[in-house]
Amino acid sequence: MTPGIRVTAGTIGSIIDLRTARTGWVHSVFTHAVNLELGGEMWTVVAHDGHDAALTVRLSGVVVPGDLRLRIQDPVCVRSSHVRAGASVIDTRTAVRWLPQMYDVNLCGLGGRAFELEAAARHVAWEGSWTLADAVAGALECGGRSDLEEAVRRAVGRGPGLTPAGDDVLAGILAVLTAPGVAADCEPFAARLRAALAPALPATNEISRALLRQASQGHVSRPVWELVRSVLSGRAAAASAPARTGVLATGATSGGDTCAGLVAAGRLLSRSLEGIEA
Amino acid sequence: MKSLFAEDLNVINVGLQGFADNIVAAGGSVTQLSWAPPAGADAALGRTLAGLVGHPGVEEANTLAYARYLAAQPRLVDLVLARDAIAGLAEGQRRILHSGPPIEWADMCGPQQGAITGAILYEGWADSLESAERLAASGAIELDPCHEHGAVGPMAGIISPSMPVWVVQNTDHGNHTYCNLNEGLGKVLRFGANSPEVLDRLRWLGTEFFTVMQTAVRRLEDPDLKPLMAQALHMGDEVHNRNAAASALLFKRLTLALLGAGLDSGAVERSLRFVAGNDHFFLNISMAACKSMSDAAHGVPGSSMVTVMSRNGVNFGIRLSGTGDQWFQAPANPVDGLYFPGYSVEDAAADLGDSAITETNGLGGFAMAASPAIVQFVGGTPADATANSRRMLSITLGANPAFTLPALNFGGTPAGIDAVLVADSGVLPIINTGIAHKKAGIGQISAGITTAPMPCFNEAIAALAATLRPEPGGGS
Amino acid sequence: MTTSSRYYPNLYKDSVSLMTVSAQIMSIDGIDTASVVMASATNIDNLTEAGLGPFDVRPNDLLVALSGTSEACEEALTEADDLLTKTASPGDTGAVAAQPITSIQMAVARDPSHNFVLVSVPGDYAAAEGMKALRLGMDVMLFSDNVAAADELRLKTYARDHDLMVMGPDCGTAIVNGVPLGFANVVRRGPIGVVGASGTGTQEVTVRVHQLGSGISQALGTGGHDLSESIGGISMLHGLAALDEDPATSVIILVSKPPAAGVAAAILDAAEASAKPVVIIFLGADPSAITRNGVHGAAYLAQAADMAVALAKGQRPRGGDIAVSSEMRRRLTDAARGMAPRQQFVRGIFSGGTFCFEAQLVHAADGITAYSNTPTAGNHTLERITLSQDNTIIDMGDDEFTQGRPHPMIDPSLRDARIRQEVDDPTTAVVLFDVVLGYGSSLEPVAGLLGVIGTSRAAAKAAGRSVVFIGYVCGTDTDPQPRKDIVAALQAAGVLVASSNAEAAAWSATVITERRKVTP
Repeated sequence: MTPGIRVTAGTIGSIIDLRTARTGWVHSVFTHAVNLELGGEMWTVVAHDGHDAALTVRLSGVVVPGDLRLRIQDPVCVRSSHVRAGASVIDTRTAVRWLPQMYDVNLCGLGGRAFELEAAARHVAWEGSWTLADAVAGALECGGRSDLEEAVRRAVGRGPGLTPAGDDVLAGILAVLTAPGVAADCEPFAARLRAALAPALPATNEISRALLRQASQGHVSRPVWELVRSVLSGRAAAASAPARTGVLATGATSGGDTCAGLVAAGRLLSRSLEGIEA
Repeated sequence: MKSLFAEDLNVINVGLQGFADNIVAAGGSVTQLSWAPPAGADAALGRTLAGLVGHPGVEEANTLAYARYLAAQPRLVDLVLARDAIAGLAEGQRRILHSGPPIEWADMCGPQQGAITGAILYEGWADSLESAERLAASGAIELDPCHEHGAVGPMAGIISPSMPVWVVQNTDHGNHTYCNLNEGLGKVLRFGANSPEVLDRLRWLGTEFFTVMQTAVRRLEDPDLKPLMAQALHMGDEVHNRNAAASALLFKRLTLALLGAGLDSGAVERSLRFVAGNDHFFLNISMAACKSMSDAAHGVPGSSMVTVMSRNGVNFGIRLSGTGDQWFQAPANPVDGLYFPGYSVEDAAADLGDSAITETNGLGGFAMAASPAIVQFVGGTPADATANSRRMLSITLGANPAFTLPALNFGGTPAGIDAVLVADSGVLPIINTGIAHKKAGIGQISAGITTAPMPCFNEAIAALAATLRPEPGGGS
Repeated sequence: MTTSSRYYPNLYKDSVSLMTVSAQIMSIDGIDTASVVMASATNIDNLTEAGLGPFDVRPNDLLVALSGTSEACEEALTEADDLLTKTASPGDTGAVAAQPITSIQMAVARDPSHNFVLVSVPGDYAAAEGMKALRLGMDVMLFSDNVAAADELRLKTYARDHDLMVMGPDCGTAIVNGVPLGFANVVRRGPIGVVGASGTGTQEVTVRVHQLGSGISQALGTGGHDLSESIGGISMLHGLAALDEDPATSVIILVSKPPAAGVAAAILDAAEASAKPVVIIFLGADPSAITRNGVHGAAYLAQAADMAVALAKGQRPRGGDIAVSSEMRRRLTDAARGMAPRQQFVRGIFSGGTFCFEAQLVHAADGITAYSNTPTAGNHTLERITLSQDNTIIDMGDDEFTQGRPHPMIDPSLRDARIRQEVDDPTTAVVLFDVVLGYGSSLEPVAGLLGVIGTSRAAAKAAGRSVVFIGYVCGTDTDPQPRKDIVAALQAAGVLVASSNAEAAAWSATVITERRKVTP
């Protein structure tokens, strides 16, 4: 095994457990991210400037995941806040846990904010994402079970990207349906969507599958969380611009596709929950 | 156990070497520990220690304390008279601060008694050495550790009301810390000298020098200390025993601040010459900056992070973040060093001063890799200096990315001493130090390396364990 | 006679190193007694009682205490100093060696893939090390004994709550994932899993399984106190559950002396609930009381292995008493009849405690009671352990024999000397002994013994006596001391080598029974 390095993690994801011992292997390797498969969970190691999410390990200092010299199938084990991947060790003892910031929902003006988001994302998203988003949202609102299953089946694994565009759309929709303040009211939608999603998941890749599972439980990345917050809490346009930029900058079309889902779900919300104030 | 069956066995062997040899002979994988009974071979304390290993409450507390330490941003904001900054030295109080943990006058070492006597004369509370000593011995003067008043002082570490003190503020946490002025080398108060020449210098420092420096500090364009110290680490300093680069960097800033300040040029010249002639001028500011960083980490219930290491020439004292104001003391360890010609270990005072606050914050001996010159005093090589820094990583919570050491591949300096790791591993925090002559007023006779004594850490973890609520599911 | 001492502050050496040093200085002419120990309170008390001392030391110090002529004491102190300080410490030379790993936490921080801890430090400290291992999420084997019962319970309770296993305290043998730990034999991997409360009991079962052509998936130890009332069998139950879920295990063997009543019931219930066939050998218990659905009671250790191997092949397991073949019975009877009239007794000299126990049970089943330092129910305590009387079957690995000396499995010289003593005794008919091979045991287990057998047998013959030597070699041909070589050497020296400990005892009982018929 190539000699490894020792690094420190500065921040860890919202639900990641580094105290219970477990073993696994390196699933995939990119320059700025490495995915670790650990007992059915997909953990992602990112550089200092990467995004926090539910199961991320964000390194501190100038080290990037590529410096860990990992290869696919290298053994991984976790013990006592240390992660050994290949021959490298990540010390997470003093890592701070990112916890998404809670907020109050203000649905007044939601339609307008959805419109703004759509305008910003229109040319970033894959062109097919808008139709997929509308189809799923429409099926949630007025369709039966088979309509929803069909719409979901058409979206999962569909379109360009490491995380296919259709998956990002679904993740965006789920991010809204599970957001604090509206999750209780949206649970019927979320439950139906989860049920429709389950049989369709094998149609996409493992990384995207893992992200969809997390999203369906309400666990999204920090930029997505911030963007949903800005849309649902009614923050002024200027304040929400950085959140929007952060998401839109993700991947080639990935961020835009997520926004397509956010927009469709936002509109669904504002139609379905008319009269409900935060 | 069942999950173990699916893994490759990788054994840690604690005890007889033969078992490890057999595992290797049988084709297995094993690490042999160089084990010795921890916690001073006290079996009961050893069990208490075991209960702290992997304790979730302690780990959480340490993460919080360490984060506050990392986030600290010490800034040199002022130079004022001690009485105007430290409540305990205010008008009407007869109190003198000293380095190290609490100690009675009668037990103090020669240099510290000499320095207190000198301070009493400086304050005008007595007019002869004999009457000053009588006054000190009588108990009429309160003698407190600097640390108990938010301050630090090197060597004897004496701060009295009329002395100027640097004021450092940690702008992240908001706390303030103080330290006195460095008088230079040779016959100085901090080594216990109290002759008229020493007092004259103190008076000048407290008047003309004070006025010039106060103006300079208040006009500093860049008062942030962390970047200055980080830069000094790349220039051969470790900001405890080697401060020449940091002092030169500071000199630049002070000089620029004095340009156009409209002060008397003679006073400015005398002051700047004084600063330029003292390669340890920055030490006192370094100490105040360090204290402001570790003070931010102090006071987190359950945290085993060490926030104070300090000596008074007799005892070594530490404090933990999670045990409040309690001191844990033990006789200081001997210093391994090289004596200047004409002196030997019989002449040495025990380890003295608050300057171990630098090691407490990952600098000084912990940053030895940046400043290997000191290992020559113990017959070592630069590789030993790097190894010393590296070894400290096994007893710290992490490495401070703000203070990188080129010799560690620009890794951060080991920082955040964890008392549990010290007690468990037997690895002692290492300190770069100077040694004073045990008679007051003679000065420094050696430099070298020492370690913090283990009994302090044993006592500290016992006290910490007593503060913790029992975990659900036992295990202590 | 002078007494002399020196202490080394904060110097720690393990028990094997200390014994090596004290053995060397003991051999200096003029030295009466020599002790090289860690200055624990117990050790200081013992030394003071022995007239050495007083000492001004702390428990972390290493103490050399001597009595003898003053010249010898000086020489001994110098030699001890050489031996204790000769290893160069890092920092002596200019280049600092890689930093030594001094704690479990440090080892895990260096490499989190560590997943098991083997502890053999003095009992006072073993529990704490074990607890650290558990709290860091690792299973642990405590070879150490003299751990307080309260500590054992605390460790095992914590382990149970965190789905981990504590093997021990006082666990001498385990084989995990095919890796021998402690005193263990080299056996092939296979479908039979073992959970044992006895070290040599586990060794007997595992080597027999190997000899029958099958193999061991895991051999887990529980330590000698696990099945007591206060502990309740926590580790045995955990081991049983783990093997139950292990896809590589198809048959499970449980090995122990009979547990406390309530604990036995819990074990039997768990065994019955297991989806896999379980063979149980509770030495001394009636197998028919154990046998129930899916659970098979064995009468002796080797039989447990036989039954498990049969079950693994889908065959019916066979129980019953040990059979002595008619050919061997004839041989033994002839040998018995050729003895001098006074030769009546068996002298069993064992290094394995469970072998000593089983041998007593086998003799008792034939109505032959005996004296022992570890007597089974119905047998008698040997008052002076250094002198046999009547039938005597002793465990030379027990604490009384091993104070300050290596275990006979490591250094058989005391065992060899005792055997000579027994042959020289005119009332001895049978010398019965075990030889335990495997990792941890001496690499020359019978070198001295062969000489003792040769010369003492000749001397007995000259005095008109013929002694029967019966031995059992517990090991495999793949052990560091290949079994077939050891067996061949013993047979060449005229020893009758049995294929199991129980069989060896049965042969011995046959001779003694025959001798009783001859002598009134």
